[in-house]
Amino acid sequence: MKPFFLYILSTFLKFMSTSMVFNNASFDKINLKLSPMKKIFYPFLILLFLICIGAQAQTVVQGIVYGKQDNLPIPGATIVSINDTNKGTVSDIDGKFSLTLVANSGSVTVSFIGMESQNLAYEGNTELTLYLEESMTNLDEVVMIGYGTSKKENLTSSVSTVSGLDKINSRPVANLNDFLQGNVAGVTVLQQGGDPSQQGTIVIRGTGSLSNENPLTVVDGMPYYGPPINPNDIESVSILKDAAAAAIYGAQAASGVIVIKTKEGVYGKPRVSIDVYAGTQSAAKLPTPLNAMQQSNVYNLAADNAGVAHQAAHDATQNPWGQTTRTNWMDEIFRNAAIYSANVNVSGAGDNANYMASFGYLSKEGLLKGTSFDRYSLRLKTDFYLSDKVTVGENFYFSRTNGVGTNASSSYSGSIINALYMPSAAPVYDENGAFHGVVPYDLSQFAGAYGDVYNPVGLLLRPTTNNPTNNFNSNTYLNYEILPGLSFRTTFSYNINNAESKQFMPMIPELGRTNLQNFLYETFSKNDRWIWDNQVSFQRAFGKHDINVTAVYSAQHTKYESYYQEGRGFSSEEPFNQYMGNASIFMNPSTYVYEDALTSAIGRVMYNYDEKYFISASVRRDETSRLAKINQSSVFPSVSAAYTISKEDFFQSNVINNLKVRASWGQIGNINSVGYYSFDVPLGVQNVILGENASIDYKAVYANRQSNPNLKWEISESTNIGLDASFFQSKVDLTLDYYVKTTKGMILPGLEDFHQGTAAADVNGGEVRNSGLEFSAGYASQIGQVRLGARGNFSIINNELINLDGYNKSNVDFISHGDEVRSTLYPYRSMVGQPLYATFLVPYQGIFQSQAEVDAYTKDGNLIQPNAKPGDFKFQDVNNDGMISDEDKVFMDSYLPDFTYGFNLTLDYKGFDLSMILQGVAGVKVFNGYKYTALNASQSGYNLDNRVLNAWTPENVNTDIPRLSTKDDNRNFGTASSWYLEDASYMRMKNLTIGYTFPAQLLQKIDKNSSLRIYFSTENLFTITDYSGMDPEVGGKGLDVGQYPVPRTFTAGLSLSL
Amino acid sequence: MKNTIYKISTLIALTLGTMTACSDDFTDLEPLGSTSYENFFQNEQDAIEAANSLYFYMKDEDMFSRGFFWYINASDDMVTGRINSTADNIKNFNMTGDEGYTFWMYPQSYKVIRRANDIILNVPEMELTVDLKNRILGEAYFMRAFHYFWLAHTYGDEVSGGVPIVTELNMFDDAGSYTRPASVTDNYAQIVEDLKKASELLPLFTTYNPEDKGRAHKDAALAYMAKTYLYWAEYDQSKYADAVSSVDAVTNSGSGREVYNTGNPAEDFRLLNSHLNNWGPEYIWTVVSGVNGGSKLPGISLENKGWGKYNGWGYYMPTNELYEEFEAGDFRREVTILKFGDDFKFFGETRKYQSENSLSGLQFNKYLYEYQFENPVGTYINSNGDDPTTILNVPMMRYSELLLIKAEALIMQGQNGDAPLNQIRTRAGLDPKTNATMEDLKHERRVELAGEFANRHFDLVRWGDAEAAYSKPLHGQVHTNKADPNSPFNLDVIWPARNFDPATMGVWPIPNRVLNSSGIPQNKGW
Repeated sequence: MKPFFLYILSTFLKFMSTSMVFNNASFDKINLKLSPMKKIFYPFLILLFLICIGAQAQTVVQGIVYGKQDNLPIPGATIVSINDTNKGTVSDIDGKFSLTLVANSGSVTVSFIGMESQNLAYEGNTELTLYLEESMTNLDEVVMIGYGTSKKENLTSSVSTVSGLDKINSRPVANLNDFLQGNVAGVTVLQQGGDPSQQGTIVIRGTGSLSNENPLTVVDGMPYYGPPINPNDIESVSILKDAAAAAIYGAQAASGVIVIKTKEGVYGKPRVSIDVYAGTQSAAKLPTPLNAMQQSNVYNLAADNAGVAHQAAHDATQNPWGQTTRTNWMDEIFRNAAIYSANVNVSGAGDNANYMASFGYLSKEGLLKGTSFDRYSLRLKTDFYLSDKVTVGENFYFSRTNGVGTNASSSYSGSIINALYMPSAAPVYDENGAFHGVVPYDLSQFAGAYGDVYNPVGLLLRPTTNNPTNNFNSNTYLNYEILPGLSFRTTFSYNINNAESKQFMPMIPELGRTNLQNFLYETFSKNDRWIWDNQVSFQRAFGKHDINVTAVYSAQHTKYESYYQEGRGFSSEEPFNQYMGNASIFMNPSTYVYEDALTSAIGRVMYNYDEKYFISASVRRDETSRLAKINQSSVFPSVSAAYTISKEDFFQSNVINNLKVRASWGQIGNINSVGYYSFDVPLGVQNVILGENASIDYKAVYANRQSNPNLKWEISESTNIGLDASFFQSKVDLTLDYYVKTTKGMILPGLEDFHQGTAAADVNGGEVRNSGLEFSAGYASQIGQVRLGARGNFSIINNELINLDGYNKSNVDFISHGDEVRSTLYPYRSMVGQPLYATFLVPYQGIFQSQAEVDAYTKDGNLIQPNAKPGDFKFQDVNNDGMISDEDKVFMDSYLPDFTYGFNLTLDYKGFDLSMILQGVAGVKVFNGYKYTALNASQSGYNLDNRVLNAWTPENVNTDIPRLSTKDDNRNFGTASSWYLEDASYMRMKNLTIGYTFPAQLLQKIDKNSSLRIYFSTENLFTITDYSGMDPEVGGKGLDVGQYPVPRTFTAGLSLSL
Repeated sequence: MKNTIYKISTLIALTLGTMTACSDDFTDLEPLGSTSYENFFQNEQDAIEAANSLYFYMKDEDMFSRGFFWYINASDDMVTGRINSTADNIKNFNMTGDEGYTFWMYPQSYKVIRRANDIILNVPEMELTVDLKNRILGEAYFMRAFHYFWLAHTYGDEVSGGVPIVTELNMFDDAGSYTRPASVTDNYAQIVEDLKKASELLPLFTTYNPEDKGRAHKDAALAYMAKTYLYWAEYDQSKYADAVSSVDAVTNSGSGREVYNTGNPAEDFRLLNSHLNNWGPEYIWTVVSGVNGGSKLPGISLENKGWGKYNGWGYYMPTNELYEEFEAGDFRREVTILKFGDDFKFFGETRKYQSENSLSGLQFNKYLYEYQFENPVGTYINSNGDDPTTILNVPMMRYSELLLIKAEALIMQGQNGDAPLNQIRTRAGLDPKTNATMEDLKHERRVELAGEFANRHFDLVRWGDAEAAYSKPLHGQVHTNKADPNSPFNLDVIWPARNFDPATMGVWPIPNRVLNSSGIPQNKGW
């Protein structure tokens, strides 16, 4: 036999060796094996494996497997001989099995997912009848790890499984991220507000980078980069948290890995399941703008306080129109939004194939008018067992999504903030049905007093926006079991993503922010990616020794191209005319293109002795196109070990059933923060106006960013110590992990010295450390007919910037961030010794209650705040220089939570089920920039939040809102101070679901195995928080300028299975 | 079965082998999308497109639309016409350095400087025709100097030093390594050096094809040399003579630069300040503007909401002090300022000026010419209300200013400046002065260049007049009924007196983000 295994192994080794930095003797030895003389070693090794197989069958064990709960036969249960794990079978559609064994006596293990496994002895030919009980614990659970699976109890690294996925279909979540909130210790989901076109972002074990970090998603063994998959297709999820677990996915796994397994057919006839729900979403808390008369009064008082004349528009005799309230703009932009979802899934399996097809539809309106999210998805998944040894299969997933969001983050054109700005005197529409301006046309002279405001309903409803994205993902594989325990698998994944983004902006004729131009913005983008993995694995037990070796060679390639065009000047704004060709002015189009390639060679060995001592090690070599030639490749090792003390003979405890300690260490190269061409940045292109006729089509080319050919891999290194234990007949289990995760050579744009006139090159700038403690515990029990499950998790995260050694050569030890409120307040800075994105603010010390207090606030006899009057803010002169300036800023907390927690309770009783998730974060600080415009009468005349009625006056001194003024001489608002910083800790009833499953007997008439469950579910039922804004979950870095609030959702649905 | 294994193994071995063999190439990808720095500056088109990039920020809102104008707005000629605390605090010298309005000028100018440095570094080695190479290098030297000119006098003096000098010699130095020269005169010296090169390399603008108009040209280089010398002379009197000779160089350059004077004072100043004179005899340097972009100053200084017709922004309203500075019979006054009851044409209709919005009851009229036409949107003015440009090329430097520079330089040297000064006065329909004094010069400069980038605020600073001027309140014509163009008015204080410390406030605070990014020190007193 031609030893092809040798080819793979030697190729693999050769590849590893080309760049391995080891020069020690042991590695030279490996290299030597490539010489022809040593090749004989491999066939010999294979021969050894061959000896282990082949024997004669003698005894037949037969039986039927039932479920204890419902007395129904269980097809697909696994029956394996304990003595010879290579001998096994699965039960057929009637729960029957037959297994022929060598040994005359022994025992077999019968297992089925979600059931307690049973060991049964046999003696000669035996007939067995057994009843499996539903599992209370998850120790036997099979957990997906990288390139394989493992029993949960055999894990050496930090891997969490996501619980409650069987109920994901009854939660109105559009994607897995939203489902994960509060579910897993160490996994923080930051909702990006409630915009339906956005999904929550996941942070696993803290922020290790300044770039957008996203965990790698692996679906059915292959990395997946497309839009979020239909949550209904998901069967199980595990999260690889530490480097040792994630290392095998290398390059893209520095922020952790979410490993998803989609549903597959179970043995038996086709099963159809139908899931539908419908519901409504609403906002829990909205701000209240001033009514028309209040706005006039407030501005008149503000003018008085500033010593300037009243504006004509706010004079009741000159502008009586402005005194009448016609609209509550918050009510006009928000709505009760509908959500619908339908899923149909057909699956089954026979002797030669396993199949699953699913179709899903989700339609989710946003709370704000005009916003929505729609998704159609289709999945086809099949495995064919061509022979005992060869399996081929494919998994196709197609989705079409269309998300229409809105800008809620701009304090100029944000849709929510404009609903605050818009005068309450203005109606939504004028008498012709057109959007109304800040004032009617015949009162245009007063328009200026109300500021540059967009009609917020117009802002939401006027543009025609479509962002259809078609994504097709396919995985095809061939698995060949060369020898028992030795298999080869090749998988090819291809993903094509076509996205279009088109927005037509009609003219804005009404007064406020008139714009007599119309615009069409259109982007087409195309992303093609393929990944090819070739994997050889060997798994074998030799007595009590269990060894598992995996080698993988993986290559992937991406090509992205987008084209953007802006057109202006459309003669008609009718739908038929909203196409680019009808523009009369064309801006020069722009394109964005990149290619990306990555190759990886991976090796991993897992070994355990008697399932008591575990050790695992892996090494991965990655080579990327994103770095300059000399730095393209690097090697990242990991090692982990575990010790199950409870399996020792000396360990005798009736209380503790299982006790295991784990430790791991590993490094991962992170490619996600590297720009595609950081080593040689393409030049920028702009349009310039020149010439006698001021044409805008002069093309300009310039260097807008510097290159860094010396950029190297960013390394994420993590150390994890963990403990798993279970008590009281495994009714209680707990997991405790302590980790330190350090990002070394963190890639970020270097110090951008504005004198250089270009954006700085990416540099390996510094080091960030996240350390933390994660704790999760569960309890499961059955008391009479009540099944009770409770699970809680708790995580503490500490984030610190350790150094900025490579950031610059000028000893600048902080990064100033550009996030701002109206280009005036810049609250964020990352400094060595502080968390990333800490707030950096002037301490606010209350309000001056009298002129005496102002006069008493002096330094060397001079007033520290000379412009202050009673009712203005007092700021701390931190540097004691006699004035309030940028120099007085100090570090304060960031948006990163100090700890997060979740608590999940499930109860089942006679077909009724109840589940709830409480979830919360603490130590979170939001910079409430909304207050800058909402409470500030010195902007351009906008309407304000009615909290300004509580502004300081000599009669109203118990307030933290400064006196009203059309000037801001004391910079009450213009100072980035701690007045804006608010505690946004919260605890939220994330989900509450009540369901009822109809008795099996009732449905027997329809179909033997049918089931029906109906349920009511509510998301975000209540939130306990001190935060004064609409919603504490503002997303991003924690800057709130009137963010889209997360909705409260009520749904009802049913799940029918036939 | 053995056969199958053999087949599969061969296939896999081959694919893996091939992949490994070319795996080095596999990840060796050339940057896509556009040329990169390494392979740019190869041919004529590259050089021209690099030169084009020098002009990108001319149309930037935060440069020569508002941008530097926020500082000019601090003068006694105008007030902010609407509620806006950020603008108010700038005008009141009550700044922190975090103001968004005044952030961008500094970094944008250095972006242009970087682009100029790239050209000066790379173009000399290129194979181009001599004329084109000279022009492109001249454009780079001019634009570098032009931006240093604005940075230098805005942020540099002798108390706190100049602004860092980044040229092709030190452009690749490390971030944080640039330092401020001891004095702003170091900047002026470097600017003059660049402008000298530019004036030698650049052609006269009259030789440009229509499509190249708007590029740097010889007269512009000489003109900014004159103004740089004038500013430099604040510290070194000997530079006045250089200012005079630079002005003369423009006059004698052969391009026919002269005062626009058809002998009809009632019309000339109006037409001078219109698109009809975009490329007229006074053209030296402007922001090239059209209906698709340019300087937004016309829309920014237009009545807030444009009487319901157009999105005017309502900033920069003239003061009564400016109005009263005009002599009786000065035809420039009505062209410069609209007051209640004045007739003007707007969107094709004749209106009597009134405003519920203008704090002063006045409105700059200089930039309103293009709004007079019927249906001007899309032909005379930009349809995009967020980009309210007109087809007027907003002047940065007119030939008239050069004559005033010459007159000032002569007077300051104790010589007679009447000749250049009176050219201006004659055009305005005024009697000539004899033995004009600095007071005459200051008056003439104020009224001729009111509301322009000529920079009244900095004139007051360099003349040492700012403290006195700003310690007086500013007045407006506050009408009893703002809806009625004919209602009477009171001269009310519309802006209280301000505190101006001449020791340090002659320069503005450098934006804090610049300080944080580079480690250079803030100007003293801020």
